[in-house]
Amino acid sequence: MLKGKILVVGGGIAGLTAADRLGRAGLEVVLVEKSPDTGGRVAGLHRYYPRLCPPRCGLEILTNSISGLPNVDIRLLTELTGVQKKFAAYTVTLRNTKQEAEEYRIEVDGIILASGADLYDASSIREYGYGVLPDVITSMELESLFRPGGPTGGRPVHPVTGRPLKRVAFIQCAGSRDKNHLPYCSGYCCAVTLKQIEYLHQSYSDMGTWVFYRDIRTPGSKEEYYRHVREEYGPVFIRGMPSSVEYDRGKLIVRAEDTLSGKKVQGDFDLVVLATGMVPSTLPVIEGLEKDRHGFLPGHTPCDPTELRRSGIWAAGCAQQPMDAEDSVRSALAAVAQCLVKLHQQPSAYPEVNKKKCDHCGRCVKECPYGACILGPGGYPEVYSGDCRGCGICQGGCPLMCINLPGQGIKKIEDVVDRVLSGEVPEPSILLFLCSNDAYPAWKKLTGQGEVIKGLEGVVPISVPCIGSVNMSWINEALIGGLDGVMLAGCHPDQCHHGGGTSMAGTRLENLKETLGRIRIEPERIYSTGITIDDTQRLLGEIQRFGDLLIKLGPSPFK
Amino acid sequence: MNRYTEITDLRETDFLDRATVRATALCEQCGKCGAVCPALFKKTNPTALIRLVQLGRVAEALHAPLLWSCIGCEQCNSVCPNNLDAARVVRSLRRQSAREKDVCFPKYIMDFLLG
Repeated sequence: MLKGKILVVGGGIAGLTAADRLGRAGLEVVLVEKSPDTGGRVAGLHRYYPRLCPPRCGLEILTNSISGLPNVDIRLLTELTGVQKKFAAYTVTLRNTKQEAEEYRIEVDGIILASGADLYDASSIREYGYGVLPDVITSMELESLFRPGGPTGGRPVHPVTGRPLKRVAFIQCAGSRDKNHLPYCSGYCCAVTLKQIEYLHQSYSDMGTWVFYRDIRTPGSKEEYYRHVREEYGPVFIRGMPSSVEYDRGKLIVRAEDTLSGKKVQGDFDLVVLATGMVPSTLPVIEGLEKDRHGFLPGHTPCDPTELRRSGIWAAGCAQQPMDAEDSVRSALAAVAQCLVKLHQQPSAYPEVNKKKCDHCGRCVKECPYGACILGPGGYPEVYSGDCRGCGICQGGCPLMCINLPGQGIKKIEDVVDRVLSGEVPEPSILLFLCSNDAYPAWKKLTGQGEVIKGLEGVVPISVPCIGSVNMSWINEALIGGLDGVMLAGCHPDQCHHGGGTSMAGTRLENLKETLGRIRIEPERIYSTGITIDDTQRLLGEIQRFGDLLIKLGPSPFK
Repeated sequence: MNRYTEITDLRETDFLDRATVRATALCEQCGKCGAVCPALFKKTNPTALIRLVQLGRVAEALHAPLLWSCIGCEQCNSVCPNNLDAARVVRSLRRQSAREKDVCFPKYIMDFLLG
């Protein structure tokens, strides 16, 4: 049986799904939810699209399943206030929201962040009058009109006057795809509006619905749902964002330009529904966690959406990015799968520390993209094999070259220098570092088994796990040892599989060039470039150009 | 003068037959029929005509020059991604316009007919 204790943050559909599956796999699960109930936003929905089935049904199945699992501990009214990385585990601080002072800590092996997202505050879109005009509501509030516990007791009537609804307008992208509000598309609001059009027409035979939109985005099978709603209920779609929503004698006047006909149009409505997007909810600061610029946790897309640069932490549901229930469940299952992989996997090759040389500067700890390297007892860095991905960025940054991946290190460079000094390597001699992800496969494709380029036999290739693992002292050693040039072929900075490897190498190189200039080595003798896996011809071109440049510069002054 | 045209309810245009109402309700304004129409005349095309009906601006649609420049080739129908009958919309609007008091053939046709 698997062993491990996992913290699931958030008791919405994603958190419950994750807790259920992990619990069924036999792990110990602690689920914390800050509100008094589980179910999250899904519990407030009337129906799911496209089946129009009640969300209660799926939630019931989940909660029943969880209640039969003694190893899943649900703690309501509890929030996460802090996360501290220990060597192989996390210490998390939890707080009971009822009793302010009561904070306590537990140790866990992994964390699934299913903390969800908040709805964008529609009152900041001033022209639509949300918060001022009571008959302007959000789509989530329209859902509540259909819920038995809602303001109208489940009768879909006007929330203020209690009268039946006749004309309802939907405003899509309310505050979304707008640089002054949310620059992104939340992706789910179009389908939500279609679903609500269906509810409304099912409730009233003489219902009229109008949709003001920019684009209707219904990817995949949702397109069929879009067509179904149009065919069945005939809502009028007006392409053009309204400029204003005003109240006039008991009606809401919406004004817009119909960009399809180029005419300004206006209509009066009983109710205006704003389809608002999502913003990430607040989480305690977790050091090193990779967020996007909006605060979501989308991971390293598209290769690994669960990669957050902190092994043992995964995001699920709307914490990842705005998404609907279907995608939330899917992302929770992905997080569970990654969690099980982590607990099962064999440790990879990880760096060793030469304690005699280390001066406890802590640079490896700071630069490790995965938080796998921490300062252990005695102030020496220790690498936790379960978290290490073997990128070697620590080895690239160490000023004293005392942390090295197995089989890597200055010894390799010294061997090359020896070969150059004994005259084995023809001029121009080039030490070529290749990232094993992209540049090295490109090199292999280019040169085949022999690993030489005709006319440039002096190129000595060395494969490295990431270009960020190249220590500047190696380059220094090579150039002072008499090599004519050093070339680094990594990934493009925004494509690095290890996050910041390429850009880190770039910064280090700039510093090194400055130092070399002082000892009269031309900085042009170092060249770095970004190579993708299919860039074989460009790699060849860049090597040839660099070779030509080195011939022009002449042999190394240290030869 | 109000610069805005009132959005009316399409279902209140009861003089249009059901098939026409359905075709206009389902049209997503992709513009394919407008692109293929050989009768493009005075900036109107099937797409624009259907849009006028969608917005309830039937009076304008009844005066659209396209009604009388359509040659009935039905190429619009053959390209429609929703299999809608755009040619039928034109035909039924023609029929309706013949019943309207103030609607007449466009001047250029009248000139041609009366020499």
